[in-house]
Amino acid sequence: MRRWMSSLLAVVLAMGTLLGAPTPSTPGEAAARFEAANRLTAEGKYSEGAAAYDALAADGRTSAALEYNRAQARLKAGQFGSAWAHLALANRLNPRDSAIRLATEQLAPRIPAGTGSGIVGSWTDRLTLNEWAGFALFSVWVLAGLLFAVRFAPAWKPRLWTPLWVVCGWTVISSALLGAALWNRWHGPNAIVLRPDATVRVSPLDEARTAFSLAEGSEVRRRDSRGDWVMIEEPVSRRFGWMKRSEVQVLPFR
Amino acid sequence: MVTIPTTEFPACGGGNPWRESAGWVRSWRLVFVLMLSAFAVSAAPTFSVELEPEQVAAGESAMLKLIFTGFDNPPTPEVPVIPNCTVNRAGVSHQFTSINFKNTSSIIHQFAIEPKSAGTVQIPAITVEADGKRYTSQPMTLRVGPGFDQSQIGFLKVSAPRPEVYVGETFPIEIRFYFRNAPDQQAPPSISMEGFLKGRQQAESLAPETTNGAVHGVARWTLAVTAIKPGEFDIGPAELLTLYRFRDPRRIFGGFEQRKLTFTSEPIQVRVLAPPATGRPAGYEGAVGRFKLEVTASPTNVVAGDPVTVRVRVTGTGNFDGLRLPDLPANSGFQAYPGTNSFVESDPLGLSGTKNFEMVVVPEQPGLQRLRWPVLSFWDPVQRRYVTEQPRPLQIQVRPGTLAQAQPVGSNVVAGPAVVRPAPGVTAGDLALKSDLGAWAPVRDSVVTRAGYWCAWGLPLVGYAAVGLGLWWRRRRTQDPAVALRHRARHAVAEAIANLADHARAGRAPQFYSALNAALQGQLSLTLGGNSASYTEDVIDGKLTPLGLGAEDATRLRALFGLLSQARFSPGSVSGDLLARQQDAEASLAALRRLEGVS
Repeated sequence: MRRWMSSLLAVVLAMGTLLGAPTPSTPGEAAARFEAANRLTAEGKYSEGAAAYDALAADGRTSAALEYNRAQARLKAGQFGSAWAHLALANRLNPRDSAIRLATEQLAPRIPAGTGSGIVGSWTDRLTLNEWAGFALFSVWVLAGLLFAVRFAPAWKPRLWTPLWVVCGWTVISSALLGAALWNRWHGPNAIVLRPDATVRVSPLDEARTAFSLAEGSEVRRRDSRGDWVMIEEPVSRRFGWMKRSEVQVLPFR
Repeated sequence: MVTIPTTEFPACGGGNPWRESAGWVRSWRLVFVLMLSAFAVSAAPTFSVELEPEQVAAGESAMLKLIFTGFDNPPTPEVPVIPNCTVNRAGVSHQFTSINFKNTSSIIHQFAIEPKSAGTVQIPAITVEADGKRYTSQPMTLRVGPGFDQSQIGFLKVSAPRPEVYVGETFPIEIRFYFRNAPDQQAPPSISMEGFLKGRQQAESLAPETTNGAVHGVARWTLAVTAIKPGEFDIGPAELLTLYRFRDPRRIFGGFEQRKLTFTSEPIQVRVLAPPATGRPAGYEGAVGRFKLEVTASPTNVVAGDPVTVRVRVTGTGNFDGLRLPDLPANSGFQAYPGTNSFVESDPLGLSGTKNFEMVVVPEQPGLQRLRWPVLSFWDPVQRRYVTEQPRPLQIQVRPGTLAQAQPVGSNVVAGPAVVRPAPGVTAGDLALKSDLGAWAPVRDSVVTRAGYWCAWGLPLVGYAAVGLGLWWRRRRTQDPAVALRHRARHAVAEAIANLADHARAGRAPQFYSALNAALQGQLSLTLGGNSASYTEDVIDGKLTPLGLGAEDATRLRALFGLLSQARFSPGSVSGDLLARQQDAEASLAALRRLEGVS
């Protein structure tokens, strides 16, 4: 009886979200709905589970665990492109989560680009961009503090000399690492194709000629956007074109 | 005798003045020929063949001329195929000959005959039909000398590491080009082989070697090949096409001729054996080479159902493409899932390197589990024996868990409540979901996209630089006498100007002129340098006017100097409105300040 009731509760919750239930306002409510979505997915109702996850993240709030579970549900529902996009976002939110890394490594060979993942394949992806930025900022402030101390307290100069050089070196390194991470983010792919054989057009119009098509899960680079259209660049062949916004998932710059 | 040769070449682009000019020339020649033809006595048409020269060296060409004389409508002849020669059409020429007013007209078809090797080339009789008759030429013989000895320029050699290899073995073969003179151009060599699969190729230049008593430059191409079937096979011959430039002795003023030279190697014979069936290990899957195996696993202390990543590292030399790991035995106590592999090569041909396999296994039972896997068997072609690499067993401590179900897609390494328990009666399938929502927050772009971050990043350094600059400036002001003096002078001038206004308003003439003198002398010291209280009216014409002081300002300044002199020597005689003089003084001081930068 309890099993039946819990299943019914999960379905009702999921249907509620599908029918436009407001997004949860408190973490407790969100956790309950997350568990309900998990239950739907575990029971093999992948589409319903994925929809429940989507509703939970509808207002822009999400978490690495939510994106990871969304990826699992989408994968089981046969939507590889969407699964890969959610997994990439999970990586950007928590890049050192071993489960997320493992799932990424297992799915990466299925990316159509042929050269592996460009979105989560770099060593700079071991930390989030905010973490790299934090390291650089912290080291700059420590360096400035030591410089002020050496200037205004000359008596401390002999003792501070070695730490000053160490922190100076670390500041240069951390700033260079931040630069490398930024470079990868700016020049690497940052969007994922969601639909199989997605059409890329030469201009942002429905009537425009087809430039080429992309396989589901292809990693591309977003170059521009106009209304409901996104201009993308295929990183291998460097071809440009426009896609419908609904056919491509652009990852946040983080 | 009059001979007028004309030549027609294959059609070229037209529509230019030169072509029109050539047309005029042809017309003139035609008229001339017609004039000569008026005296001509028609003769019987003849067909003949000439060969120039009759002896050439291999690689050079001779000209075969088919001459039609006296034909009204000569045919376009074809030269039959000549063995071991290349025949190219070289154009058509017209020739008119007049001997004692007996004129003949000939059309000559020319063909370049280029023999490929030394010996004798027989040019067969050529038959043509013209004006309803058949004409047959005499057969001709072209003698071909040896040309020059190509082996004096260089030679090509193919070698393999061993005369016997094994099926599945990948090994390098070398093609070496020894040359005394480097070619101007060369293409990569081609090599024919059967029973082998070609792999990657690497080209490099080696240090010169002494071969056959002469120093030769050496170019080497190394090619990875894999034997695919047993038997005896030839590798080669290899061919290398080069382009050489030689000085042409026939040209009086020097010059070069280019020749294509093809160097051909002798083939080598290689015997390909199959690894013997005797002593073949049970798990042998065709690997040939020399390999070492390392196996690690992590984590080694898990809850039942949690994944363990097994990393297998195979290093060595051989055919890594065909290297596969055996399947996990069915009764191993672990469930395996497809993994990934990568190859890091340590040489350009990919013959040696490290192949990394990574896969996930899930222990099915709690307790201390031992996994003896994988066992890699391969044929060592050097020692000619089977070798079995067996790693030490992996020991994995498995704690009892609530979910003893394997989870292949990703894994949930968070123990306990992180594992989603399926509803009773519902199988969880192969999902590994997270149950802890974690930090549920809006996803924003990184802080590096905001200007505030970069302000915070640069603020301490800019602040430190600003403080350092301020301190430096203060120290400079206090320690540099010139700067300190100017600072004091400027301060004194400002104070004097302030007093000037006070005294003017109060009508205190002596104090007013004293302050005026101090302000004027101080400002002059700032404008011109030097000590204050030493300037007289002479500086106006001597220094200030050359610096650009205007006539009006000069007049005003001169009047002020006059008033100061008057106040000094006859104080009672100075009268007038002090406020007006204060305005004059301030205008003059402003003019002097403007000149500071100029001086």
